[in-house]
Amino acid sequence: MQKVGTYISTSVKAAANSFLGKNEIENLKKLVDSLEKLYIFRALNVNPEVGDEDAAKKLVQIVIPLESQLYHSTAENEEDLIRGFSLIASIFEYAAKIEPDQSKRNEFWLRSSLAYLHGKKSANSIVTAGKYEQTAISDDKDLNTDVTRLILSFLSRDVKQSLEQAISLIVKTNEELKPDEIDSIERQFNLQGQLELASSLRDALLFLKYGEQSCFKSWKRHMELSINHFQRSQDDYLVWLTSRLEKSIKSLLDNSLWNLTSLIPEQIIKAFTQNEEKPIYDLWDSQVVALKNIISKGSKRHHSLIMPTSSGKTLVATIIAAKQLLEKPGNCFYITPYRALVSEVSQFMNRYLPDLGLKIKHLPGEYDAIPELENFIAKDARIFILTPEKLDLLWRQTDQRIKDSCIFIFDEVQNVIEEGRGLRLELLISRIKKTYGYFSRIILLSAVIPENNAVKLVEWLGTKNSEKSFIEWAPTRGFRGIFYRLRKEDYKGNLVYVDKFHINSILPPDQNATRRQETMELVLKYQKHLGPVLVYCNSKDEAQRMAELIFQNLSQKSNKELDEASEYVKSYTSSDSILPLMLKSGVAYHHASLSNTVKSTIEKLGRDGKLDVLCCTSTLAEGVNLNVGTVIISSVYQGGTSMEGMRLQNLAGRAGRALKDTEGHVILMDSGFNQIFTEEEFIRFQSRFYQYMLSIVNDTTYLEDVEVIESDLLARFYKNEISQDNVDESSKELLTSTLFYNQANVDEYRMTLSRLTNDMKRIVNIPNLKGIQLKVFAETGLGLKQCQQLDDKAKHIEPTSLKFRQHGSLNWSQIQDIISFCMLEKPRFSGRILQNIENKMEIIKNWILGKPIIEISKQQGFLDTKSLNNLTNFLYGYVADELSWVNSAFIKLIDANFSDNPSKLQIDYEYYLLPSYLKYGVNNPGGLLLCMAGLEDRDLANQLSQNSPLLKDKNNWINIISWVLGQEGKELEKVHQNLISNISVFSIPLDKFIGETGKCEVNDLGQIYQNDKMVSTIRSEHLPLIKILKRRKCATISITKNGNSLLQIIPA
Amino acid sequence: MANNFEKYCEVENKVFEDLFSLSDVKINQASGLDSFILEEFTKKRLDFHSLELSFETYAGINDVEQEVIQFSWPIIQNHLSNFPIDSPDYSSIEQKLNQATKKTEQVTKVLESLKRLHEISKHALESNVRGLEDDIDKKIGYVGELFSYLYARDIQKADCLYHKLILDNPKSFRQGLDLLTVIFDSDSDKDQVHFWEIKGTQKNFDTQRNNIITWFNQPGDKHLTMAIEAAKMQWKNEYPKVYERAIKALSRFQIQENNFRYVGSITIDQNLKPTDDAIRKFKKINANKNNKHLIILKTEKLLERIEMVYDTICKK
Repeated sequence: MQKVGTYISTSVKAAANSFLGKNEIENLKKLVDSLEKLYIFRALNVNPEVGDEDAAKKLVQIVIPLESQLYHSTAENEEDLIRGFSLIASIFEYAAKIEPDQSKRNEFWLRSSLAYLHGKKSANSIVTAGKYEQTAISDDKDLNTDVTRLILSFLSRDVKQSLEQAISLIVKTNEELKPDEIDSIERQFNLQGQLELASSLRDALLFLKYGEQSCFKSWKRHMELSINHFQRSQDDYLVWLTSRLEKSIKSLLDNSLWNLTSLIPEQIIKAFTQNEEKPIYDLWDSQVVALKNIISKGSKRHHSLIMPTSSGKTLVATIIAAKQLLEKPGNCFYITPYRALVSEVSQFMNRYLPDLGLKIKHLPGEYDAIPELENFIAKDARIFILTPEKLDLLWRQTDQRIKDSCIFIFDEVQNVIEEGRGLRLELLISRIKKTYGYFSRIILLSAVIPENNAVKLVEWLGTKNSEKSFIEWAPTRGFRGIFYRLRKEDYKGNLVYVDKFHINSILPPDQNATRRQETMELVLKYQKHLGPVLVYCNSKDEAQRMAELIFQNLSQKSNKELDEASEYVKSYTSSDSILPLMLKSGVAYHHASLSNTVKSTIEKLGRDGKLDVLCCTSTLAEGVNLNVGTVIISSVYQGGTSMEGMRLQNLAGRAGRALKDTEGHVILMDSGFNQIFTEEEFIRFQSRFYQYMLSIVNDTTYLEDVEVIESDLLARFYKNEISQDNVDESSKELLTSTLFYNQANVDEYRMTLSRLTNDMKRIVNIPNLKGIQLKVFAETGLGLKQCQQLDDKAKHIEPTSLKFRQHGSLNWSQIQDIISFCMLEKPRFSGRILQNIENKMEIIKNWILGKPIIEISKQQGFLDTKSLNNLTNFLYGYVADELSWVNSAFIKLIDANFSDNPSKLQIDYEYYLLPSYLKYGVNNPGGLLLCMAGLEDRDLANQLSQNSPLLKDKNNWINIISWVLGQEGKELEKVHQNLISNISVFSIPLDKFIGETGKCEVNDLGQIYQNDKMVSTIRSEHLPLIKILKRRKCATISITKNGNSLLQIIPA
Repeated sequence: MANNFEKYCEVENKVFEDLFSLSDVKINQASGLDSFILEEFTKKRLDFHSLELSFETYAGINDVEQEVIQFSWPIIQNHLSNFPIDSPDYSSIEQKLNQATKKTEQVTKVLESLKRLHEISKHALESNVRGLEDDIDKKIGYVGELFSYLYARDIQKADCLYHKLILDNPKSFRQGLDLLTVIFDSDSDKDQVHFWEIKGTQKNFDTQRNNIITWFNQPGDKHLTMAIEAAKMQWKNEYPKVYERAIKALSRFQIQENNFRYVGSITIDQNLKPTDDAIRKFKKINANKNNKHLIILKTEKLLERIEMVYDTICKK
């Protein structure tokens, strides 16, 4: 979100100078502030202050000639002129917002949209064009209905519709331009003007969509002719409109993708502009600047890109990745810390890049990998979207795909400040840079790292090979308010808008007002007038209570989608929960203790803008792009500690809905922390090595950071990067590759180096740590102590046969033993969660048996919301996370202990799936695949997979995929799409196939015909797959003979 | 004295009863007046300049190549006389075009485009003229617009003028401002903007005066704003040296500075003598006395003069 403070550009001052006095020009900023203020006061239903109405009125008078002066300006500073138009556009926008007369309001919306486009704020131009009340067009005698509708469609960037409208207007006017039809000279010129205008827009649209070079020239000539004809038609309004449109189209085409062919390969442009589902035609200024800096000839290899939230980083990253992959061999890794973002980015890239022959694979999970499945469905993929933990795992496993990398894009890189995960990310980037950085590009992305710290990123990646872009441009304006009460003012509730104005008495005096109460009152005000509100709360309990209070005070509404969601959520919540009732009214809360199903339902409603108020904790506040106009931060604490400045900034960035609105409001309820909004220094961007440096052995303060270092050192030891002989050099080498090295002073560096060298010595001198055991230690990503504890337990496993199932049911007694070994005495980060739960093993059993949480809850006697929250917390915060991870390591350690004599241990393949069963709460491969491929409803996955085929060995995943694709239902659309788009070639062995290589036909019965002769049949378990691929017409089917007889199904 | 309107006029300026400015203009029957009026009509009111652009539009619809359009027009221009009343000399044009290019298909298309333009333009002009036949006051007003334009240009010495380029059609779905002028002062801060609403009448002075009052008193300012915008567009090309100053004067008006006049102009026959009471009612325009100005343009044998113009320009 762009910071504001009204800025009167030089070109605006120059334009004003021609007709305003010096004092009036100096006063201009105050007038703009007054208009803004008046709008916000009215929006919040607060009485305007004396003088603001007059000032606003005065500004509206000034802005029309000012726009005109600016339009006729010969100023050479294009950038300054653009800022000028952006300001003018915002004035028209506010004028529209406070104007009671519909016709005048519409005029202001149109003026605003044109000026925003001229000012290269195309997102805002789309928004304001969309506010035009089109129902009034046919009633306004001053307007030409066809022309006005066409221009509004064009400004709204509805290319398909406006192209149709332009062509239809050309046909219509051409037909009307006949002697018998013309009843006046004005009419003749008016029709000629309309025809040329429609031709101009048609050509501009054809250029936007297809890049027709001839159209790039011809649209302008048509527009000139149009203006001339309208001048002669006496229609001053159309003269004005077309002259403004001409400039705006020029600005639009400047930033159009087809105008950037020197930067972006044409095939990439085509993939965006001609996408059927959601085409993209032009870039925002932030994106153009970023791309020019990153992918121009001569750009340095590595880049740190700091761009505000919602300013279009994902599109920039997608273009960078696509260009790199088209020009060079290798793979792209897009690393993002939140699972929700992994899914969003994956969805975005999958929309555009497959047309370029680039296959995108979202690698789910973290350390609970199922390599066979991933290899099977990720074959031929070149873009991998994954979490840092997953990339860490691939590095530890020396995955060939990393070796073949050509670009790494790290999103949300400010997360290096986080405990544990942050250090892992820093180490990951450091080693990627060191190992692959000389041939692979590294792009670091963030929305919140301050400019002075961004320099450190450049130094980290190496000044010789790296540079940065710090872009402040954002599609929406950001307003930041701080709420406070003063005793000397009788505890009136005031709001100060930073760099703007005060709103006194926004809430009545109340000495005893609680934070929750006043937050609720402000939420109601903002929601009513400025749309959906996100309320950040410091705890789950607070989020719930806040939502309840708001729900009690918010007026009821009725919405079919909310009613359906409410019904759905009812079956996942306890009987005393009022969440389903709240949902009906458009209010919800969201925190880690809700089941994944409930969370994803709420997230979807939030993304779609269906919720009026959403109260949440940090679980949701970061990483998910929600559709909210206002963020109210009721507390700056996260749990018991104050939130990092950057996290707060990131949270604030959620306010504002690009393409839906032009502004976002962030209200901080804790005035004691106002410096967060006003002082950049408050934002700390610091390596976690500082904490590592401060920790001493056995001190648990920063245990997670220490474990991450140990784990990293174990991996390096296994990879022979460190040994007993080179500890001093290696520790230096490691530390100098980090961000910390570029941030620390000499003393800090020395102290940390000493600590690191000691730890390294400790690791390389562990007796008998070698071979497969070391490999497992290196690959798990767990700390040394956990590995050792697990290894001790694994050694107690008697040589036996590990059967996962007996007589068709889970072999629970054996599975239970395995799981209990994994429940470490000192859990890594889930201690508190475990304290609240009894009968853990029984709960886990029911979890992987696929019982709905609500049933497990009832069985345990957890009847109230709090107990249900504790249970959900245990399952998602411990079982699905830590236990699954530890279990993955444990199974591998059992394997490793029998590596010398594998015949002593006969282990069912399904045991390797157990970590993932624990993660997703399912008990068969079908359910697991459904969840991994995107079915968010675990209960449905379990219900559907009751009859899933089982896996005997790791090569049989094709059966499961076939089975999943054969399942029908609306909820499975996403699963099918994910699987089909991820499968490049299905190769099905045909046991009895004896035909020659060549094309064949397969019917729905699985009979294979070649030259009208049935040559074989497909095994029954593959039939669903054949049926679905044929039905979707998304695959060609052919038979090849590569040593083995195969039926290949190649998605189109 | 140069051959301009001033030569034919006697002007008496005064402040009418301290209510508004009044200019009583007598247009004398001097020799050369008729030919002067006809010449100005041809130049200003029929705007043949736009023909080239209209031709480009029709040629464009007809898929004539841009290059062909460009070399065709100078050829066509030499074979137009009294367009659109008379037909262009198609055979000469065809001959010249065939000498200039071997693309016979293109030549055919050029000729088709020209023919279409001619037929439409002729029909449009006739429609406008026909529309005036039944309304004598409109017919007078149409010539009165030229008189007013000439008055502003030659007598008031307006520095920038934005006027209607074609004759009015009473059926027109939209009628804007008749004339907009800026008159520079020695001090640019005192430059004046004049908005004109022009009428003519044989005997209904009161009605036309009331029409003028209604027009100026209509709610909102869109009718003026858009005329101002259109004028700015035109002046940039027409008065490149002074347009910035003119735009400034318009902008100052838009922020409600007092640098304007609402000018009502009524063309009447010299025999029609409006009473003081009829003139006095002009005060009803919502503006200060210094901001409203009534101009009465009088001439002998008004109807004869109107018919002369009408017959020569439109019916030839």
